[in-house]
Amino acid sequence: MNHETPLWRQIHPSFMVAGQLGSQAFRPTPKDQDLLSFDDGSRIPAEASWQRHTGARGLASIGVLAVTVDECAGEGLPVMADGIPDPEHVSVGFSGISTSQRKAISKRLRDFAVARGWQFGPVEASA
Amino acid sequence: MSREILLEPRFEGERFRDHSLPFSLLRDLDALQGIILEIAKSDYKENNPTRQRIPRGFSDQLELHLSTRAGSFVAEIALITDGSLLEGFDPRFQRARAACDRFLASLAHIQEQRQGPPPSLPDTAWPYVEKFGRGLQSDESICMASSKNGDVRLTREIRRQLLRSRPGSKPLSEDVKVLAKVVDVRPRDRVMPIELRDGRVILCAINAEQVADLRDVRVGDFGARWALIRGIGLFDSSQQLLRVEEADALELLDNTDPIVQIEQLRQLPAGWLDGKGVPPSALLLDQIGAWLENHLRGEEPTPRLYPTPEGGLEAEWLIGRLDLSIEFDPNNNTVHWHAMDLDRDTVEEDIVPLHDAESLQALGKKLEAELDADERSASDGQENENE
Repeated sequence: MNHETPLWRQIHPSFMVAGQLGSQAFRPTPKDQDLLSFDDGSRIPAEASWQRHTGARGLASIGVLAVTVDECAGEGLPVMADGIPDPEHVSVGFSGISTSQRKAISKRLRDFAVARGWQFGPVEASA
Repeated sequence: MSREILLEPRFEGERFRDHSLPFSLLRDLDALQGIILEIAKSDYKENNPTRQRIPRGFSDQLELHLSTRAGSFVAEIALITDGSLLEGFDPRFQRARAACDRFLASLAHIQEQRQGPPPSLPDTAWPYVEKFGRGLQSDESICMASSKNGDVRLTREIRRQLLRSRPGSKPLSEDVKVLAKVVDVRPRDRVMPIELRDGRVILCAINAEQVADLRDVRVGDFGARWALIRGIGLFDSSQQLLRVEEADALELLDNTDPIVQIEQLRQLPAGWLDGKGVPPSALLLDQIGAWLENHLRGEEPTPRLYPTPEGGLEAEWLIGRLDLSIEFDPNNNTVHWHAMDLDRDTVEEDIVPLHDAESLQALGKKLEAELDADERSASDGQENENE
């Protein structure tokens, strides 16, 4: 993983409304314990990442968007290859960041990802 | 000529505070004249079994006037006579007064929850009773003073109970505003099947102009395209909408329309986010829907509405170069305004209580100001381009 490595982010269908992506897609929820989940784009293809998320794990995703390691670092977010629950899993830390900052960061990450375009999908929404 | 006031129905409610009456409610007053006339006719026939019809000209002598008083809207229904008899002794006035009293006695019976069925009304009066008060909203009433029954107040609920007391079981008609999916259009029958929130498909009667407007809906969009319909609905005894009998207004909506987005959020299941998301409550969605309707102009840019995992909702817009999000959080009872200026890289924030009407109104005004500024800037840009 280097500065340019893309980090795959699964996009939940509820965060894509009438063709526009909500910033929550790049903000940790309370259940995430301040860690936003990605897959390391240098170790797994976007499609395989999506297949595992929706198939084996049975979770909802309409496709894969990406930000780079550099873009996260530019926001002051640590990128950690923690390998849990999958070997390619990467966590981006939001610990110690205020609600207001989280909103601003998630808006900027969303814009980076949208500008880069879909890495896989989008596919028909399925639960 | 002599003019004697029979009834002064006073419309009470927020809509009438500025001393005006929505045009649609004139139909209700017209119906009140019909009620008085039909009861008077029926009384006359009962008392004069050998006569077939009421004396000529009675209906022409009933006159409706509109006037206003503080905080409400008052109509006057008067009887005009030639004045040849002493005031109060004219049999036409006595007949009209008795007809009013009979109708008000029926209303008073229900208002005071008296035992047994209310005093009966003639069959010919019921079609008019059906139309009187149909345009009232839940927080409105029509108050009528009566010498025999005191103040009698017609509300939506009293109207429902009165209509349920009529002979035979007939569906009840009421003004209705319904958001539904267009399932099909049948131009020859002038009907449009629509799918309601509960999945039931009912028929909506449409006129020739509405048939023409609906030509824009492609066959592939049937079952997915939304329409907002205002008109008269027929309801069964459990207040379930059976049919839209008359569509006064029919508006096709895009999927980006906030009303449609709110409706779609109502379908969000529990556990929507990987088994853990809490769907926003109907109460919260109603509140946000009303707030957006108050402060948006229905033009672009429209917000996108996203559920939050904790049962809230976040509205997001790009207004010019402002990346705005407003989060409605029912757990902390807050509304969080977060506006990021993309040119200056600055953030402006505001947090107000979710249930404080005054603060929400101020926040709405702030949103309107941003939308206005964006519109001005867009039109300035257009002018510069044209020069």
